[in-house]
Amino acid sequence: MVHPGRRVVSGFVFALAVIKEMAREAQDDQGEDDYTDDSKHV
Amino acid sequence: MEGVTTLVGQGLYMALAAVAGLGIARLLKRDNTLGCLIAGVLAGALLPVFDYDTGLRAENLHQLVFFVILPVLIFQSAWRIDPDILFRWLGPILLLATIGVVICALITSVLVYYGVHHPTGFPWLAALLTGAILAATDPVSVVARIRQGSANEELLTLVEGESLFNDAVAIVLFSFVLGIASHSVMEGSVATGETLSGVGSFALYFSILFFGGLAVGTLCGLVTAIVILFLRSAGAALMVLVLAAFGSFYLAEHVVGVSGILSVMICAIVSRACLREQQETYLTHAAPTWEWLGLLFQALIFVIMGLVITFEMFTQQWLAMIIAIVAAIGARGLAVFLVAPFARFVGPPIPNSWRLILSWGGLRGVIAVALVLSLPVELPYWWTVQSMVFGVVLFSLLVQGTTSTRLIKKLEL
Repeated sequence: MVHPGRRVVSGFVFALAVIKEMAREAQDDQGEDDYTDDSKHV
Repeated sequence: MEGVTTLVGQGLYMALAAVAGLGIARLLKRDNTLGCLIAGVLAGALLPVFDYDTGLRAENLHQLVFFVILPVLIFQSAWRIDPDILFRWLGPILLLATIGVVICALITSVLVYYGVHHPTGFPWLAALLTGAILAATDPVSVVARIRQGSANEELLTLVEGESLFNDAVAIVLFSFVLGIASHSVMEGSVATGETLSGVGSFALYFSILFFGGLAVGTLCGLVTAIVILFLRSAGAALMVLVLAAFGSFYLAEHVVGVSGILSVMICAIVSRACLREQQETYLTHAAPTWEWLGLLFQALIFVIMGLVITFEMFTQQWLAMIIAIVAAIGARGLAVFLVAPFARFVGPPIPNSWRLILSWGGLRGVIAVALVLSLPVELPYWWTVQSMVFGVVLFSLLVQGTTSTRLIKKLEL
């Protein structure tokens, strides 16, 4: 049985890792994307 | 259909008054808040002439303040603060915003209780409510002055950060005392399964409220950051942020049953810290958006204050107002000067001149007005508390606001 506190901490660390990875990817693609042009997203 | 058009008309009337207030502030060369207050008084005076109803009632003000206005105001203040400098000053800020706020609220309560000295008409609970409301500070003039002048980022972060955290703690304290006052603690939003009684249970209830709010806020902040990074668009990021402000409050307050305000504050801080590298990309429009939303709601709160303020408050409650002003200023000064020396144990020391700015520049503004407007009229002492808080806010606007900018100039900060 995993302690609930440990589960919370691992969840938090996992979320941070996901954010870091996504931020890195976003940084890499920066040249291709025009983030302020929303028309293409509509 | 008629209901909808009335609502739109009422919203427009208030927004028009807010814009007129900004104009008055410009003409008088004073704070926007004072201009909006004057515009609110004028808008109130014109109501019988037009035979118009603003739709504002004591019953819907609480909902409006807690579900619409406070989330935006707290989110925008939290978003404005630089996370790096905030973390450096976190120790002193937390010290001032927790122990400092509790000391300030208690001293204010004791002073107003014994000052009014009317145990049946103004019991301890009324004094505690007044203390909690007046513990929330709003250093708007001080911040504006520091930004114009030397722009000392460290002092700015300390002042803004302390104000943000003490607003959140004061709102939690207020909700807690109000819960006791209106007996809602007994039916409570926290599913403890039994009736709360005794100091231990209250401490438990307060802890669940406090730490639960922090946990929900962290979760919302992380999810917000992930969704913004996934969407990769500046427009969508704004939508997500606005949703995060209202959503984190609703989730915490209504679904989980913990403190919504703490949740909003932590959500803003966590998401901004996680998205630090995206400030120039997806979040380019975030700061101006929160700025105008904050301005709009601050203006609306002061217009509402102008609408509900009455001449009788000054003729019948002037003594209570003076007692509250003395109590609020004295308590803030005492709390800051008692707690500030301990700051060096938890972070950088706070210089003496900064302590002076923190105590005299700790104006009572938008949060105090929002909280007092949300008081239920079923409480027999609500009018006395409202008059006292309005008195302190007026004193803050007229006297403290102008003199604190001179104080900064004199201290050469």
